Amino acid sequence: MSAPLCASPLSSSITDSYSALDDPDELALLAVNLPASESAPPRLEAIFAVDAIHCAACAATIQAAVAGLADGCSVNPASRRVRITWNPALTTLAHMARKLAASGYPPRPIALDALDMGNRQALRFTLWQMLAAGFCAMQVMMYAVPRYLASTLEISADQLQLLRWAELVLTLPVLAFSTKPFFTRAWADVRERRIGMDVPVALGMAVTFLASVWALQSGAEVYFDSLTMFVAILLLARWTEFRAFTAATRNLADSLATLPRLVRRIGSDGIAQPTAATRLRPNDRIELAQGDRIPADGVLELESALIDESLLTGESTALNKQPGDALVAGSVCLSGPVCMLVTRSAKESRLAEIVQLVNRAATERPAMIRHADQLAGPFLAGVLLLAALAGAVWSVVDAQRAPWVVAAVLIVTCPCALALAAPASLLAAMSALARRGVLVRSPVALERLAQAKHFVFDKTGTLTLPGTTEMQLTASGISAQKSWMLAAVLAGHSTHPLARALQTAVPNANSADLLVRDVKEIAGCGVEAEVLLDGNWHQVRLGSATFATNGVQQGAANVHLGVWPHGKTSDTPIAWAAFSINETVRPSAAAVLRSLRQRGAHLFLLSGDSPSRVEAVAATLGIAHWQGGATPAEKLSFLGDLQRRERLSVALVGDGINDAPAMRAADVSICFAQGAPLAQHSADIILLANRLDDLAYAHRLAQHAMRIVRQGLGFSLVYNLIGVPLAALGMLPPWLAGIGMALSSLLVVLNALRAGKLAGEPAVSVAREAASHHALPAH
Amino acid sequence: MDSLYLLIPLSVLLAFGVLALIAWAVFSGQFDDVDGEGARILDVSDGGDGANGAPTRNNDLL
Repeated sequence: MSAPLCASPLSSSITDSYSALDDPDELALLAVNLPASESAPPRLEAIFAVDAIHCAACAATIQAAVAGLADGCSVNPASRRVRITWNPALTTLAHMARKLAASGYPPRPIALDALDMGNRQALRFTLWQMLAAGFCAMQVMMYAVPRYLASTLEISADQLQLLRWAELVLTLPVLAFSTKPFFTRAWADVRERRIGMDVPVALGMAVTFLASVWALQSGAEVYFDSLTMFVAILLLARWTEFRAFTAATRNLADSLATLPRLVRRIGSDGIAQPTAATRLRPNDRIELAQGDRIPADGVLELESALIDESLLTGESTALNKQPGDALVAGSVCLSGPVCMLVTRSAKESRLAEIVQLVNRAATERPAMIRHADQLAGPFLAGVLLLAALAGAVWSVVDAQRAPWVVAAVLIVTCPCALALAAPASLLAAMSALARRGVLVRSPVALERLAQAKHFVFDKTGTLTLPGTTEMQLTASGISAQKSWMLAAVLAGHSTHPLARALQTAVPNANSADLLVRDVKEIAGCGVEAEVLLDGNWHQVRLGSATFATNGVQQGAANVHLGVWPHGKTSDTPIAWAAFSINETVRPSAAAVLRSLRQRGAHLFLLSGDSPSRVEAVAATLGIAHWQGGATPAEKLSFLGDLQRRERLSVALVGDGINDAPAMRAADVSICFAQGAPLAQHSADIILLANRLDDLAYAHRLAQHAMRIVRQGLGFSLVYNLIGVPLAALGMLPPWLAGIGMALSSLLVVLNALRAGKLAGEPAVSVAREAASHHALPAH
Repeated sequence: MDSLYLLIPLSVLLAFGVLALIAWAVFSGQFDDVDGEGARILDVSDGGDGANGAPTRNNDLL
């Protein structure tokens, strides 16, 4: 460990760090050029995140702070973002940032790639489509009212015809602006020879419009009012769904943007210099002030600190971290100033991994929607067929009403509700879990977790926590000190909870004392390496009794060390040692198992540890079915038997790295992240926080979400079973069909969003709110 | 009732005028931040007079 560099006075004020904003390289990452126009010179535009914004009223203060400097300043209190436009000839970004900081709103610059510049225009266009349709629909309705209410004595026929023409003229803007998305998607579906949700909708609109134009010529009934109202309500429903959904699923995905852009890196002279966070490299040292968000993964140095990891784990209680403890990007330093050593840059940090995993999971499709997709084709084909059939029958019975019946059948069917129920509910549940630090790789995993009837638990690290204090050692043929050192060095290459406990038990094991080569971790068994002992290379193994000593040694010890002459691992070892590491059952284990049992789950304990230890834990927790000393192959066959015999899905809760083959074989697998890179875990569900309670919570939330999915599917089934026959019989006018369809899909989505909330559970967002509150720099 | 022959076409024209107004309002960003405007009145530092350098929202730039 190199000389401590944090001894320098931590005097640099955060306002000084803004000078880095005028570095042209830094500015290129932050600001976008706005070309000159007739009315304005060329300008730059940048976005700041301002954590101190807590209500909408802060906007005026911020705008006043940069008044006279900035060309434009827009504040969004919801996202706590400030967008500033300025003329680079007149002022600098750093100057404005200092002004903001001085006014009590220290800004954090946001990189350009963190936001979608095209999004705003798209949102405005969607809003315009909805408002245009709504306004035209109301106006068309005004022209239609006399047709319904006035008798021919009160208004002349040619005036009524004039009103119909007015309806047509005001329907045209709706068609031109608002129906475009439906027709575009329907056309894309038709071109790719598939039947999508928008095909019947677009067809219904086209039929209503063309039949109404034809009716206008012949003096029959027109339905422009139904058409425009249908479009308006559908767009309103989709807008509301979109707003509600983005609000509910705003999750970790945008948390990378909350990482600080500027950090104080401690140079070789021991003086902290403001640096762009993107330039941080492993082994850099940075200084963290109280309230700073940690910009990269690293290790705490010199002093202990209070760290708030709620962004990652949902744990709102601050953790007291000691020097040498790991710090993860995105957590907030509540005490300070402290010094940290960077181990992984922001781009490779745990937070970046999580964001990637969450983003990818959001694009995965739940199994249920795959079934729905398979059904959707026949369903929509059936709707088209039924519409054609109803049209044919009605053209015989009453040719005038035929087009309206066709339109009503096409419009009333609501595949939207069918298609939205599963993904909306599961995504809402997944983002609620992510906020609590439970990462779900795909919605399928959540469905399987809800269905799982058998829960197979690993012991060490899952139901128990290895203690670090009481260790007993029995050794033969090797000195106690040497076996401690050997074990600690080999344990350093493993992520197994027992290996970690061994490592911490021998804190000053220095690998320089021992020459080690060819280190291999054998999943489910242990670690093997070649070590130079007394001038000769020896084969050394650390792990289970069978693996490390060929079964020579039995007993209560749970970690074994065996030494062989080079390449002779099949014989009995020439020296061996056994370490007995105490384990304590997790405090929450009993409650979690009880909760699972109450929900009808059968519990199993399956461990590679010695049977006597496994039996003890099983007895403590009241697990009737247990098996000890299981090799990875035995674990696999145990799971296979269970799946075959019971035909119910099996959940495996264990170690994501050492149990990898069994994890893949189980229907759904759950593991603790244990500080290893997420990509190494093969589990479907990863618990970031070291809390077993999260398993019970995830199980409850998954079942809750699936209940809501079934509600949505059931509702839309009933709706269609009632609506379609009514429409086909001509008892449902097109306008009512339109309202029914729009409302049913809105209802399904709004109901689906409840999947993120469990009754009686505290809202997880509270913890995140607290996190962003702590993030206020204390200057 | 003959006035309807003039009034109905006029109302159509008026409706198009309103549509244009909505288009202008949406595309100039009037609805981009609907939550913030209501709270501006609570701010004490903004004396409500734009002459002395109080901030003006330049939404065309955003």
